[in-house]
Amino acid sequence: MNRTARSRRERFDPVSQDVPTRTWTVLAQDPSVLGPGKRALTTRVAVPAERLEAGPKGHRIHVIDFDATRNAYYEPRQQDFYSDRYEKTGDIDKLVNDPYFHQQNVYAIAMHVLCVFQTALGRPISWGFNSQAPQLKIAPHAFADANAYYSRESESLSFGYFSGESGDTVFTCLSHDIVAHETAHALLDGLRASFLRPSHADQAAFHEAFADVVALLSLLKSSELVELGLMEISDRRNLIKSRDLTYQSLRQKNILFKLAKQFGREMSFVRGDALRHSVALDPSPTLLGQQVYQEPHRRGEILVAVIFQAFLKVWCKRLEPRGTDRGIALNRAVVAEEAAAAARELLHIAIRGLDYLPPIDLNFGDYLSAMITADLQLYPNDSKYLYRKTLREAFASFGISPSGRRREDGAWDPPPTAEKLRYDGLHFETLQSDPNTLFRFIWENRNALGIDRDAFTRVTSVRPCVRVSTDGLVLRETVVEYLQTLRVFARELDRFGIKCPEGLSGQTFLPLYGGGTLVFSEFGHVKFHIATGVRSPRQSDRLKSLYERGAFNRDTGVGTQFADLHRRRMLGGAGHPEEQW
Amino acid sequence: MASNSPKSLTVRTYDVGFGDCFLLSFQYPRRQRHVLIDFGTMRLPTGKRVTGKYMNKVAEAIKQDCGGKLDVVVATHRHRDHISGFERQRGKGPGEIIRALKPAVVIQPWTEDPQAPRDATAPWRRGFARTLLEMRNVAAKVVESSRALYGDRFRQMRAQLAVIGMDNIGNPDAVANLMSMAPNRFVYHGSKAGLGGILPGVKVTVLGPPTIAQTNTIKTMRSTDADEFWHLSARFWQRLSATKEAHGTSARALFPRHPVGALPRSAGWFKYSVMKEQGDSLLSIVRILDKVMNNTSVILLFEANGKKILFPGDAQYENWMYALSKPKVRKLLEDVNLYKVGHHGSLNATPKTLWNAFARKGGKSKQGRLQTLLSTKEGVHGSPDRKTEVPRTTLLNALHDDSNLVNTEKFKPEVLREEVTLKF
Repeated sequence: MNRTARSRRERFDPVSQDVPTRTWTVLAQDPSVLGPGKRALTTRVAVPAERLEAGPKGHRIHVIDFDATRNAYYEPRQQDFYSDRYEKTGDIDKLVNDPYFHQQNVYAIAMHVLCVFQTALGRPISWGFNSQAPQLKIAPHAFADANAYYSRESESLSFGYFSGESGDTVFTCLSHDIVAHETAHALLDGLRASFLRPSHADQAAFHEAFADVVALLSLLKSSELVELGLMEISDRRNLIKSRDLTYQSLRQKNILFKLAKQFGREMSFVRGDALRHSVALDPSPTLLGQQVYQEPHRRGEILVAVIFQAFLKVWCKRLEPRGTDRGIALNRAVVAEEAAAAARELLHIAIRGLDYLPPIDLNFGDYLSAMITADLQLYPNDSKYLYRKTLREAFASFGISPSGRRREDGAWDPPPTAEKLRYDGLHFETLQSDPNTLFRFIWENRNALGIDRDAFTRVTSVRPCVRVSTDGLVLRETVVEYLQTLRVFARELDRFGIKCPEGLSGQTFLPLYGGGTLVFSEFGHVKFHIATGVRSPRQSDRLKSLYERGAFNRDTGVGTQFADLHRRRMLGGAGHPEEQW
Repeated sequence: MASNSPKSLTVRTYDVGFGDCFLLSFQYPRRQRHVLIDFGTMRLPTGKRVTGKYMNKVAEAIKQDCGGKLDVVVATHRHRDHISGFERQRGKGPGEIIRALKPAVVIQPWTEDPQAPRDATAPWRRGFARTLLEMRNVAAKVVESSRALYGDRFRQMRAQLAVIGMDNIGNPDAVANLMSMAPNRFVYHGSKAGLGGILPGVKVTVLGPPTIAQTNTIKTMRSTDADEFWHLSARFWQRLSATKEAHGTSARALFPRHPVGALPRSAGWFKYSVMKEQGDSLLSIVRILDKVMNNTSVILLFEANGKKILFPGDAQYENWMYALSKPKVRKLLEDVNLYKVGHHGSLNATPKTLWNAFARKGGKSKQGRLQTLLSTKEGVHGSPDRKTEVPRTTLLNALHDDSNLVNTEKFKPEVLREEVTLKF
């Protein structure tokens, strides 16, 4: 390498020395969604202004463009790492045929989603790899297949490519929602590893549904994309009548449904028409009980539909002070900006809710209580846009009530035995970092916290966080998770008040999992204890669901779990383990 | 006993390794009638003392056993391990010998009916037929794609892909022979087998495969959008087939003008991770299509003078589900005398609902004990670690303990077939 080349490679982005982020161009959705004049519809996302190497390879993400089908490594950009070359590129073909752009697209979207999570949770987030590796690997052209997935085993996101209906190659790495979806899987796995354990139908559905929620809201917070959808109802002056901006009208006109259908056309082969199904799903309190929604990938559609409904309502609420409450027509850009703001807020609530969930065996009602609690902590006053009320109503319209029952608003209750808790040996500094200190707290307070004595207990994470609201409120909390395992024979279940699944041999030795999330205030006191015990009545449902899905018959590794899940979403359900040998 | 009823039935089980081949010979007062059910292999048996082409020898044995005349051929489904023996191989294959035995009728599942795709009143039917066609194309391409998984570390994966992939490819030679050697009859649950004239005194009930419409009446998943599902499914396999065609191992570069280089040393390990994932992905694809094809199997129940003989091909539970949902059928199957074990003894082709209903199973002292036939070869499919080995150990134990089992794995090297006779 000559001196000139080296100096060019090592030249650092001058902007990054002064500001913490840089913005890079990515596709707003995918190459099939074009803007006015058939130009590429792009958007710009903020990523940390970090030092980069060829890949791009940063401190959290490493793009490795290896193609297993062709045994080829597509070279990354060797120079000029920091500039956004594609800001002014409107020719979609140029972007589709340029692997450098593909590499930038996956890096920037994944890195941006990571940043959104870190901002919402108020702390750095680790990946869920056994090796503790800091970098998630991304293969934008991993193989020729209509699939894309996260793999904990490979510490990676793999994006396939396939022949589209037109004969052109479709690249899943160019689909904004697919990249966001897979990144969300990786992040959720880092935050809550036990959510991948086999459990009842809600937990099985949650991973996929949450990833879809992140994907959907990531798209909707792109005002460029929403503006495109709104063109149909705006006039020549780019104005939209207020009567077209009511919840009923937006739902009936299916503006976003049509958009979802458009960008789902080719990508539906990757994981079915899930987004379109969710957006079109009419609220009904009986859906969850229907047999068809017992399948995890279908059940998840309900959670996405709930969030989408809440989004539409909050969006309309935000438009009222802009003029819809006075019958004033609004500029399309303003309407789209409010959609983006609503999506941004809801995405933060959806992510913050994760910290207030039990570490295992969650159900949708838990998630509702978790989101309400999370929002209540940071925004005590919700009178302006009514996010919490809207979420409660949206969940209720699908027959889901909050698990927190004592409070009218559906948030979790403080521990009923708070005054009995002992804080002996608990120092604020170690409370924020040391699992052993936290284990002592659990040890001292087993009775007061109602933690099972027979079960093996371990603290799995201690995470201090600092969250700042847009109103300037600073919230300091420490989130601690512990897990419990109790192994029993199926024949013993009766003694615990747990129903043994019909047909399961009494000789089956099976684990009962439980655990809890302890949220400590900035003064080191327990604010919430969100737990599900190893002898919880939920275990009956969990075991039944596990048995019906064959979890006791054979091991289900987490390696390519998502590859299989996406395939099932596309091609229908799994087998009938109860009929197998 | 009526004079035109059979007095006995001899069932011959031919050792074709990992495959199926059975000859049912009904003994009437004046002559015999012969029904050949399947003739195919994926892996020949090892250690056989046979010279020349093994499957031709089996065909010759069939010819000898049926006295040079077959009455019925049943091809339960299109898998290679059930129909490869019907390949004519330009006049030199075993299919030529079988063809010369001039069967009067060939029975196949409705999914093989060439008219099915043209039934405009049922879009799902076209979609399903199209899906099967595209799946066969994909199977062929998967076998080719597995070559990209080079090196020792992927040997086992390549072998699995080859076995399942090859089993699912089109078998055009065998299919053409089956279509032309005699008039074909395409059957489904509840349709007439049409063998009354050939097998007087024998009632033949078709229990499977169900049609899609029948399946939809009990299917709990996607019941409201069956048309859309099959349409999307057909498009998916079509896309996958086109993808494997356009992006095979020898395809042109994905980005012709983009530099392709060597992986950086720090990322070397990642290459094998992605390769393994691709292999896993290919395996999951072929397993799905293998299952769909198994579930097109014809299930036949023969009844003669109160004795019941059940041949289910490779039907898995999704095929059985419709028949077993009917109390009348469950009752009918309770006193089965002879059961051909489904899918070479795999974990999911003898539904527990079916096995538990067999009243004649039991210990050695059981009067009129259930007779079972298992045609299989160990070490071809699945693995004990994942509890997917074929034959599945737990099923094999149950067959040993509760039935009189004929298992081709136990045939001596000099034995080509074993026979079981049921007296009526």
